[in-house]
Amino acid sequence: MSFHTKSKLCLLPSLGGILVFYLIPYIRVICYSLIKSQFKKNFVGLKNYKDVLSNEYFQLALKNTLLLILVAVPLIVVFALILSIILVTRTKWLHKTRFAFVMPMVLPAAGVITIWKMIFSSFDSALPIYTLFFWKNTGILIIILTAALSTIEKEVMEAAQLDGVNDFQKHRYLTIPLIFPSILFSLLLSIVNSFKIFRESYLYYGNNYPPDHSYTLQYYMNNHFLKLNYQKLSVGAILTSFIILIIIGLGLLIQRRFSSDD
Amino acid sequence: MINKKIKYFIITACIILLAIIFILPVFLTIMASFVDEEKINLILGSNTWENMISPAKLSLSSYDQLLFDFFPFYRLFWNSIIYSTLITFFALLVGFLAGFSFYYSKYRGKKVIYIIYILLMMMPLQVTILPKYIGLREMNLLNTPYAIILPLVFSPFGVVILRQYMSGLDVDIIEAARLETSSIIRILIKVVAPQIKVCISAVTLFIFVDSWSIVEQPLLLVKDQKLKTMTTLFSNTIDVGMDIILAASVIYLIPVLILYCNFSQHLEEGLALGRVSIHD
Repeated sequence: MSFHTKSKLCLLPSLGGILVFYLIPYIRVICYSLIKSQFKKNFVGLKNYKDVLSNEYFQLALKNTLLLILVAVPLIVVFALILSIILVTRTKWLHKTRFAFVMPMVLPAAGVITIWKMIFSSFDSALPIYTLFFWKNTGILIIILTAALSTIEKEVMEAAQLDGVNDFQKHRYLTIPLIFPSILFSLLLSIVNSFKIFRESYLYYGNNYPPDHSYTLQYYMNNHFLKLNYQKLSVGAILTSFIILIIIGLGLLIQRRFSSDD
Repeated sequence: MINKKIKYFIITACIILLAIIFILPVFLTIMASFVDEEKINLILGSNTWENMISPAKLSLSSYDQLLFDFFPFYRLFWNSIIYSTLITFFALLVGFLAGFSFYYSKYRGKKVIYIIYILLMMMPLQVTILPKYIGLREMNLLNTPYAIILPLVFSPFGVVILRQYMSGLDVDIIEAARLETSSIIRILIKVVAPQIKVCISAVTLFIFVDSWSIVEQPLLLVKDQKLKTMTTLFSNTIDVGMDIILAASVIYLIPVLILYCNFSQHLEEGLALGRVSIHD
């Protein structure tokens, strides 16, 4: 067997797992979403989709996720960008504080959730979930953005300084356009991560029913999981994957538009 | 000039303050685990700053109760360790092979498969849990340890990160090594692995932490209490006192903190996230 054939075969274990646990069952999921129930396998077309989309809890979950995307995502990217710019341009010892910002990224939320409950026990809003989102996701953005910032050549910045440009102008007209692809990637990643915040929300409220402002898709899914309601679950999964595909697609479109400009 | 110095000072102070805030949850968790139950109840009862910062007696009662009065803990802790270790080992193995394959071999359709991997990596659990459940059900693996281990072993994350890092490798080195030996395993171990050490340690950290923090899998894929993980303690699924949970949180955080302190220098370099892109 040639070396090239062997190197192709190296993919097989992984691809097998992906097929068995992700792709083939996903076809099953699509089938489930189109039938009446496991026992009465009548084809009902898009009726399940209609039901789920008009379900008030699904709408609530979607609204909360959307709100997180519109409010928290832009804020966290700006926050991480400012932090990264300061950390890159400042002295070495301040740079060490990055250790603190990156740490939550690898810390399991479950380990600190109890203290979160104690601190925020008197807040009746989505604030605990939003702060958890910031705490957890700033680190990865700082890694991405500092990596991009360190590729900017020093000469460019020095030349700008000699021309008498102030700090704000320098970043507005030089830094941000230069690392725009990374900023876009950060936005995309944060949007995807905002769909993953359900875990923190679930840990925070546990089996108790969460208040409306923190109701996430995962509660909807877990509920139907426990009731073994495959139809609703399938529709929920398919709709979520569609939304994410659309967001990624849009991101790529913008990126392509941007890179063809120069 | 003075103005500039003040500005510099204020920014530095802000950064340090923010860094402290980011560490605070971990610090407070550790602190709270060392006070007695009375104090915890006081804070929970009325959540005011006076209650929180008022002096409290140091006490090991939380740990005492956790370790000597709450025996399910040992089972849960042991499960978490076993699952995470097995998942990390096999996911690295599978991911390394697949990453190399994506890097080295050439055939039509490779790009499409790779894009599917990236998209799967982006999907949240709401999307992937049902397919995993169905796959496990078809193989009669639900409610066994494999239900937790197998889907995570085949998670696309490691594959994508390793492949992304390998794209910076020089193919000529591999071609040169092929003149010496035809064994692909030897080339992988002797030539490829040493060059991507940094990436391997970053991926190890990430996969371990990811499997250490699973919440939904033990909740939805296994029913037997004996198969669950430590995380179930923290989501109110088991009824225990706040003091026991705090002590358990600290023990739960320790392995991750140790790993992070040892691997954090490799993290940024190894993830090479600046390079992740679907266009590649």
